[in-house]
Amino acid sequence: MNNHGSQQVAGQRPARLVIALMTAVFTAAATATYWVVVAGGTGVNVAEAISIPLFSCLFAWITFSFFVAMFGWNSWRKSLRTKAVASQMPSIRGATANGSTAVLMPIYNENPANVFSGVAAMVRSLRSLGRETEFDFYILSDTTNAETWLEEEAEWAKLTAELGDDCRVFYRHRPLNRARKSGNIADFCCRWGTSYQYMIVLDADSLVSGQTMSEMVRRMDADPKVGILQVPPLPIGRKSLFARMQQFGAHLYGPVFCEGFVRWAGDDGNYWGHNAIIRTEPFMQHCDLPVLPGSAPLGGEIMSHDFVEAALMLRAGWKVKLATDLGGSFEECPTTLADYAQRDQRWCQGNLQHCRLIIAERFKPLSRWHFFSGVLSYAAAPLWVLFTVFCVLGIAVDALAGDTEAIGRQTYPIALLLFGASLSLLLAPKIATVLTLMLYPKQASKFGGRWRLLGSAILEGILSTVLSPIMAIFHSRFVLTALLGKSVRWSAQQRNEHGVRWVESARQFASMTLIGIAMTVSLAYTFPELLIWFAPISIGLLLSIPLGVAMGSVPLGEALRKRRLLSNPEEKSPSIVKRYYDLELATRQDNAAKQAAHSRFHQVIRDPEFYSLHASIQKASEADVAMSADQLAELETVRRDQGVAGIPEPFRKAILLDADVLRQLHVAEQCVVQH
Amino acid sequence: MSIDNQAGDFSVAATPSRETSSRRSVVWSSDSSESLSNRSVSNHPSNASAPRKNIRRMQERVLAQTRNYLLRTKVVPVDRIAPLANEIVHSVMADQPTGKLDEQTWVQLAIASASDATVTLRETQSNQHRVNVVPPAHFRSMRPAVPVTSIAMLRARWWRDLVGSGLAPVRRATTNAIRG
Repeated sequence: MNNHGSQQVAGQRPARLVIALMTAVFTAAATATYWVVVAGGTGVNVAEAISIPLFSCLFAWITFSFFVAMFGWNSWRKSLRTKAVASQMPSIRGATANGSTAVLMPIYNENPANVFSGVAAMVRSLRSLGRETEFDFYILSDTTNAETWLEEEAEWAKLTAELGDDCRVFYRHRPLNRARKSGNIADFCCRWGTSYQYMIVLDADSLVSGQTMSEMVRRMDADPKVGILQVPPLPIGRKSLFARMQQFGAHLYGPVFCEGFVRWAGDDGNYWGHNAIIRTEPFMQHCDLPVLPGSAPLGGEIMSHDFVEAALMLRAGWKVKLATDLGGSFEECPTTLADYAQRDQRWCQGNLQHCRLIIAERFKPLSRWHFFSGVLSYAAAPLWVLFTVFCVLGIAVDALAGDTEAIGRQTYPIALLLFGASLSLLLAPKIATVLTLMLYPKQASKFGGRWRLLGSAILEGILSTVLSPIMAIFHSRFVLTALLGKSVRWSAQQRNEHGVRWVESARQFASMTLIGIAMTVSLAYTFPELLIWFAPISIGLLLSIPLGVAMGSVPLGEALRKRRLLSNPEEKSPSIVKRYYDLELATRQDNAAKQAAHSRFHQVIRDPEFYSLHASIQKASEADVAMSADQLAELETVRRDQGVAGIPEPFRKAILLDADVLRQLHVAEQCVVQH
Repeated sequence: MSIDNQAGDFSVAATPSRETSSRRSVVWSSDSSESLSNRSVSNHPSNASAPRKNIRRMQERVLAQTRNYLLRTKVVPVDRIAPLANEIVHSVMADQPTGKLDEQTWVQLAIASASDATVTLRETQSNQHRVNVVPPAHFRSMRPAVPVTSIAMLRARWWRDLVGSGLAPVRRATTNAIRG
């Protein structure tokens, strides 16, 4: 492993140089070619002149991605040979002191059954290795919904009872969720950070095998200069067509792009906010987050904290590494286009905030690049839209100037060449990956076999292409709303398979369809010869409503799964931690269905057992928040008029936070019951 | 000892157990149409002259209900329920002359004490070490764990005008919250 690491560092600088140089050369050549194309006919008009820097910027972006991916492909190709004979997971060596690593799971109004199934699965996975005493699990709840909060407590109590006396799963509820997830982690650091050498930060849907967690700790022990070690999470476990497409793409192409990222960034890597191990002491020392001047969306608290924390860690002289060779790190992905877009909107706003950090003092150049690429990953979409608009305007101006051939006859082949080059840069890494994997039948069989792998890759390519313009419009809208100062509400992520109804899809994608119709009709009337060029964009937009329904469809995803299309290795042969998770989830969902008819809030007031659980957690957490006199008076009125059942949600949370009021309600209820 | 100081069902009822605690001593009536103060000594003078036999029966009923409550918490070991219930009822009744409060109020006070006892027991048995690994005094002494001055280093100098007012020296909202 260390050998592998030193090879990476040795090859990192030349790789970085080559990537930067090749990107510059390719971009310069393409920009010159584009100039020739637009200058054909009546020369370069204003619209075309504006489109040239836009083209240059966008071409540089895809060229850079291409070279990073191809370097990654080269490393991945070499590692495939090794993987063919050796296990993917390195052996675990060495042991750490008991309880020196905290595993943090910050949650916010998540489904408690899913959360605690994940925790139970990870604990059991560690227990199977005999290493559960080395890890303390912390469920750090920021939940605001009273029912969900109480359900979390019930699940926690059940889990601790199931796991027995040596269970090291702790639960904490934060009464005020300041600074979202980063504030939640900061609160942990303030309270318990000094007790732990490392912390493994997870997301509510994260799943990391015991073997991987142990190996993460071993690597941190082996290299004392590593501040953050990120293990790329792979999406698993979802069934809709959209989710299966993402899962397939991530399992197939993810390792290649991650390898490329390692070749580019090396020890100046990045942190993705979860499924990573962090050295606690330097994190507490150096990774406090700034609050940006001004108000949201571009000012205020930093929303995408991960990139900033990685940059601060690097600035303090620590390494931030990506462990691409470690498996056993998973997450769940959104199941519908709208859910995906909702998540992207939060990420977009978070990433756009980083533009203000690009020029902050003392950050490493690579950190600035990470910020920049994070911004560009969303800003690229409106740039593409602008570029397209200026292209069409340029042609229109030419036409008005008397150039009847919208695209000059001489420059047409050059334009085609440029289009082909752009497409090749986008698709070549994917094609190379698929063809390489087809040479290794054993590896290909994990994706359903060679021909199914090819079929799945083609299907994924088609779907990605038609979805691209939809996502581009979404991203453009997100960027625009952020720049106009509209802040995003950070609600809990929709993670379940809820499907999409036609009416819902029509509401979500009506505007996309209208844009598609407007674009197609206007092109058909003005420049029909351009229709074919714009087909990849217009088809996606015109079909956005049916696509919205189809992508969220579980039956469609399942039908493809039965035909072993869009398969991934975890679907074919789930890892042990995933099997534990499925078993735990099945049991918990059964119990949740039985519980569904009963309100947990009523239970905490009526049931002495549940009351003592909640009250003892509150007491130990020192999380008592007293209700105001006005609230109490209002609550009294509600209770007198409608009884306990009529107490509305905001009051329920306030009651649960106020130990005295809850106690009085509980005692009063007992007296009613007993009399 | 029971003083009604508010309209409606909230009243302050200083009880022996609460006088020693820092908790707000708000007692909520089980019957929403009647405030607890309405059942206090001034409103129930008939209890003062209750026969001794009736008082003993009342004590037994309070004890039975306290035992029943403790049993339902599933926190107290079965063999400890009877002695604990006795202890609670005696403690609650000892501080006030028998007959000063009506039966329902005695039940309420006894159950309040029982619930406190079980919460403490549960916390000691299972939650304390799980929820608060570091004793509160410890984490208070280490606040703020993250040095706030380091953030000043993030100031952008000559670029400040371009990006707004640059990055002001700031501190994490959490740290502020903890400091109160």
